[in-house]
This record gives sequence, C-alpha cells and structure tokens, in this order.
Amino acid sequence: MATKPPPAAPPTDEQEHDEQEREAPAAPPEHPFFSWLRRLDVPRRPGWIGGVCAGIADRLGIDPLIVRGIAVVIAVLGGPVALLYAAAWFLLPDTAGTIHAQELGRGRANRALAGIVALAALSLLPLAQGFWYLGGVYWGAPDWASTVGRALWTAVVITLAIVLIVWLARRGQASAVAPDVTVTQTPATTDDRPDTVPSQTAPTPIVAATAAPGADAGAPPPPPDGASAEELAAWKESQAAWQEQRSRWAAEQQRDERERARMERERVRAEVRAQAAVLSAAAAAEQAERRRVRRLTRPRASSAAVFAILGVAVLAGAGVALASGSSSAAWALGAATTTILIGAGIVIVGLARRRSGALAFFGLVAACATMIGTLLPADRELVPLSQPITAIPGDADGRWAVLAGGTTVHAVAGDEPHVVDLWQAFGSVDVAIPEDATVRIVVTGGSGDNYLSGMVGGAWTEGLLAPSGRTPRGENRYDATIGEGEPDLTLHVWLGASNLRILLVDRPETMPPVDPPLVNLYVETPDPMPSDPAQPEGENG
Amino acid sequence: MTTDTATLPAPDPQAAPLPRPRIRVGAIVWGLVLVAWGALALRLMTDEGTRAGAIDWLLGLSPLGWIAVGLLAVGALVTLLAITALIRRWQVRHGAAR
Repeated sequence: MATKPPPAAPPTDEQEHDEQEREAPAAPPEHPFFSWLRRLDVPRRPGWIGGVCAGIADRLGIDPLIVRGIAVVIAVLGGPVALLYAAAWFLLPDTAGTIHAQELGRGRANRALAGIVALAALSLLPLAQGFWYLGGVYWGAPDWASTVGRALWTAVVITLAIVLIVWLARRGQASAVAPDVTVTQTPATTDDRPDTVPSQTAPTPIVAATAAPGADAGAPPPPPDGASAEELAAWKESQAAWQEQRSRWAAEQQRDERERARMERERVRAEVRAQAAVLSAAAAAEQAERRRVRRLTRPRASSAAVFAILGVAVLAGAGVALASGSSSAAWALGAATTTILIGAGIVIVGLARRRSGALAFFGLVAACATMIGTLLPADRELVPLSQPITAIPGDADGRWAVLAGGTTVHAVAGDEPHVVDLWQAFGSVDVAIPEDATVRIVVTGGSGDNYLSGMVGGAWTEGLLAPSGRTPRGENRYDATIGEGEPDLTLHVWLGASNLRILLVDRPETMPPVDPPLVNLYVETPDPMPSDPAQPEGENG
Repeated sequence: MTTDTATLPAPDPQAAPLPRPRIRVGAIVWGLVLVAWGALALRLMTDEGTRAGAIDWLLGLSPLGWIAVGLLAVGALVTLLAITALIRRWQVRHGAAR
C-alpha cells in the first residue's frame, strides 16, 4: 500500500495472545463432576433421539431395542422416563466427549438443547405421568394437590440441577482460565512504561494523547527553538496530517491482526477437532475389541432360544389361567407357571454357557406378578385397574377385589336382601345410602377412621363409626347398621391401607338411626339454633 | 435382537487365546430361585387353606416378626450372591490354571 507508514507500530502480541486464550477451545481442565460423568463410560451413541438408550445398551452389551422397549414400557406405566432421558441426554458425553451441560455452562448452546428442553417439558405434562397422574384419586389424597405438588417439585429439581450444572461448568472453566491472568498482566508493549516513550518536544495536547509508542518514525521534525508563528502553524498542520495518516495505518494494522488471530483460532480449532476424531476413533476401536472379546468369552443366548422360552412360558401360563376360571387365583396360577418355565429356561441357558439379560428381566416381572397374584384373595372377581373409580352395585350379591382407587357401593332399598363382599387394598371405599335403605356394614382392617357424613335437615353432619371389637389378626372390626329394620344390603369390607366413608345421599330431613351410635358426632349448624331437632344421636357426640 | 456367536468375525490370530465361556452360575441360581418361587406360589394357590394360613401368618406378624422376615430375606439374598461369587471365582481360577 502506498500510504503505508514506516513499520514503527509495535506488535499487538498481548491482544493476540489474550484473544487466543479466551476463545481457543483447547481442552481446559474440568470440574471433577464432569470427569466422573465421563468415567461412567456410558457415552451416548447415534440413536433415535439422543442416543441414551443406544449408549446404555452398548454399555450392557445388549441390543438397543431391548433398552428402548423397557424404557417405553416404564414410560407407559408412568415412570419418569422422559425426565430421566432428558437428564441423561443433558449430562452424558457423546462419543466425541461433548457434554451438553458443560457446553451450556460455558455459554455455548447447540441444537440438541432444544430437544432436551422439549423432552423435559414433556415429562411435566400429565399425559407423560401415566398411572401416577391419577395418584391423588388412587391413594385417597386430593388429586389437584398431588398434581400441583409433583409439578412444582419437578420444576424445583430441574432448576436446582441447572443451577448446579452451570456452577460446576463455570467453576471448572474459571480454574482453567485463572493462570492466564498473570501472563496477560505482563506488558508486552511500552504502554505501561511511559518512560520508554520518546518524548515529543512540542507540547501539543493532540500529539500527547494519540502518540503511540515507538511510532514517531516518519513524524515531521519538530520546529527549531524560537520558530516563528508561521513555522509553528505549518509544523502543527503537518503534524495533524501525519497523525491522521498514522491512525489510518493503525486501524489497518488492527484489522490485519484481527484477521490473523481469527485464522489462528480456526487452525487451533481444526487441530482440536482432528485430535478428538482420532481419539474417538481409537476409543471406538477399543470398544469394538472389548465387545468382541466379551461376545466370545460371555456369549449371549440366541434370540431364537430366548423367544422360544418366553413363548412357551407365556403360552403355558395363559393356558393354566384360562383353565382355572376367572377368579384372581387364575392370574396367580398363570403367573406362577410362567415364572417356573422362565426359571427353567434360564437354568438351561446358563448350563449352555450362555447369558440372557432379557430372560432374567422377564423372569423378574413374572415373579412380581406371581407375588401380587398370591396376595390377592382367590375367591372373588378382581376389578382391573383401568379406572380410578369403581362402582359396585348394591342390588346384587357379589364378591370383589379392588387393588387401588376409589370404590363406590350404591345401596338400594329392595325386597330381597343382598350381600356384597369387598376387598380393597389401597384407596377409599364410599358407601352411598339413600334415605329408604337399611345397610349393615362390617368392616375389618383399614388405616384410618371410618365415618358417616351427609346433609341432614340442612346441616352438615359427620361422625365416626365406633369399633366393635378386634379380629384375631389384631385388626379393628366395625359392625354398624344404618337405617331401620332388616338390612337391604349387608356389606363386608376388608380394608388395606384405606378407609371407608358412608354418604347419606338423599339429604334426609332426619338422621337415620345408627347402631351402635356414632362417636364424635359433628353437626355444623348454619343458623343460630344451638341444637338440631333432627339429630337424635346428638348426645353421643 | 441378539447375535449368535457363529456370526461373529474370526478373532485376531495374534491375540492371546481367549478362555472358553464358563457355565453361568449366577443365571442358574437365579433360574432356580424363580422356579422355587413359582412352585411355592402354585402350592399356595392350589390349596386355599394354606394360602389363607400363610397370609394370616404374615399379616399377624409382630413388628419384631417383620424385622425377622426382612433379615431372613436379606440374609438369603446375601448368601446366594456370595455362594455364586465363590463358584465364579473357583471357575475363573480353574479356567486360568488350564
């Protein structure tokens, strides 16, 4: 360039060095947490979504489809799979060693984050919470409370996790950058040493403010002592022209420097990327070798053998269940048969020096099903868990088993007395009694108070059933008759972790007689009348 | 789903000879536990008296009894795992000596 002034400007080493250190992605030491994550040796692999299932499958040495299938099943049953998947996607390194959490902590976001956030948000939806979304109804708590509580808790956990990760990543980064501070404090130019700057003899403020160190070469010579006003003005003019020329040169120089620094950064990045690729290829080769050795020394059972064993076990179990009738005992018998056959299959496969995680897993599932089936009463119909509220008719005899949820028994006044036997493990039982019906309720077990409530004569009435004895097992027993005369419905209830409510559904004018009388009777009087004439049992409270 | 050993690539001839796959003792023990569990359930379910008696016994346990049952289960598990580990060790040593 024709206008280029003499090369008097100092090199901007400091600036270059500084920027390079700040932006070059040379692998900095990281927080032990991320090192620990890497040591888990569960790298995400190319998969369907984030490669988490594929990574786990690779680590366990099984087919990714098995892991995906198990994840989907757990998700359908209501497990927090979406949230855990999002967390694993966020925290586990990929095969190149990139951890999204760490990248985010360093202020670098990438496209995968959108997927992670979407998945985490999906886990907050009631839809993804499956069975447990109905927990409030199933376990007797108000449903809104558990839903709100769970959503809040999930949000709190996610927030805490994000704060922790950002903190960890920043900490790791801060300790990595800290040593460079001492380097940059060493001046590489004369900027901090004004004594080395050649002094300007003319005391012009512009020159003093803009003169760069070592950049006075080519500057117009200072006017001699005792110069005239014209000479001084001419000197000032030429000095200003020189200043302008020099600042242009400096800007150009800076642009060049920036360009050089950018190219240098790109070179370093490419180098790091190439190194990572080499490392990841080496790791992949090592892993492939490990897998090969593992397959030779610890071979898996063939899929044909696994499916044959599972198929025979399921067929035999279903056959036994069908042959044993429709009671809950049939399910237990079928499950037990399946368990035995899967167990026998596992023994055969083990003797054949083969391993099979799938068989072990399905064996465990069958064993759990067997245990639940054994604990269920065998002499009655099992109500499936397909609905949170089960309605049981009170105008027909019946024997029912309900595992969980709310069960309502509707009593009906009629000519013929009926007997209903209900077994309820979790949840709550409501007995709805109309004004004209008489119901005898025999309750054993239960975890809480059993009470009667309803509107009587315009006032809210509530009272506890009085225990009438204890069973040989040590459970409380309640035997109460509500209404007059012979019972239309005799209800036997066994309660597990549940309790029973009797609801007066017709808003009767007078309280039906309860034998034995209720204890702790509570009447909410809406008017100032102290005693309600419609409460003959009032003195028992 | 799973890959048979027959489809695997031939091993590197320069590599050290790999030990032969061993009998899977852990799998056998787990299979036997499953068989025993299923058989016990079958026995309980085929006789309502036995089942009701067992459940009555379980539900009638005192807190101390529950602790004893828990210890029994944990003890059985630990013993099984330990015996499995011992047999595996013996297998590995035996395989190395050959």
